[in-house]
Amino acid sequence: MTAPSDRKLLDWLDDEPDKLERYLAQHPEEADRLETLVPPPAALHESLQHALETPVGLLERLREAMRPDPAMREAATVVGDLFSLPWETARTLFGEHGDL
Amino acid sequence: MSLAPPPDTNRPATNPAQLGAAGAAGSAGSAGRGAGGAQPSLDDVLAEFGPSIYRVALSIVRDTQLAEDVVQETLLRVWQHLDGFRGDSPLRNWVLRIAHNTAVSALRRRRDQSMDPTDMTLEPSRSVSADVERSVQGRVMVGAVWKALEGLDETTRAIVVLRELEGMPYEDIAAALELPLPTVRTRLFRARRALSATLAEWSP
Repeated sequence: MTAPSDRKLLDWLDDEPDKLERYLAQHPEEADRLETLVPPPAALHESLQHALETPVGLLERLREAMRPDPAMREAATVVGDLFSLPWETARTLFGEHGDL
Repeated sequence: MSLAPPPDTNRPATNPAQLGAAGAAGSAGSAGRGAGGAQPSLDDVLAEFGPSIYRVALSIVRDTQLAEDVVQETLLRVWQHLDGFRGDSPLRNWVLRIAHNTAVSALRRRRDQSMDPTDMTLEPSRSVSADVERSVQGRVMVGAVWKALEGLDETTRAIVVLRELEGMPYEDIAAALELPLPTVRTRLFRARRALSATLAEWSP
């Protein structure tokens, strides 16, 4: 099979992408030709940088959110104490080994 | 949403106060785990990949607040599954795969909740820096790129960001997004054609 022309590759890209995918799967070396035929648009990198700029303080906010919340930890301790209360009461009343 | 992890001594350390300055500058590969290397902490992951996660998320959800939520949710998932990371592929691919899936899920939830489909076409202008905001040309450029991205599906937007902004190799993008390599290439080339046309229309 002769290699398709540049025009044919671009036609596949525009109109028959599935066909182009199959072709690239069989001829991965042809990806370089397409890379030359369809380079990134000028200023795309810069435009994306501006459009998707990371907001000021993002990492600091996330680090803060990752810190364990002292109030939550205290609440968890209280809940734990409440659940262990019946056991502690029984132990006090009946002794360590349940001996009366 | 809070990322405060439940107490679990089997988990890697997550509190930055306990972690020191590891990975603070986000140097390439500092959060990666080599053969026999120490498991990266969540703080390492945040420092190294936080901005990339945010950019991928924003390109998919197109809402700055939702993108921040996606970053948090991604980090939570990373933290929950870090023990299961086998280390046989770059950590970045694994993290960005989680980010992509989390962002797509968030976008679907938002779409399900939204009664008005036009809600999802808002341009996230709040992400624009003050300098760019002040420049008319900058605003036009950012408007153009968002208009161009709007015409792409969310996975193709992620491919564009990972390749054209993050500079990832095609093989890594394919691994991160769990797509065949020819699919990644074809989608990117088609996106370039579309972006070229739209950006040319909007150029001053």
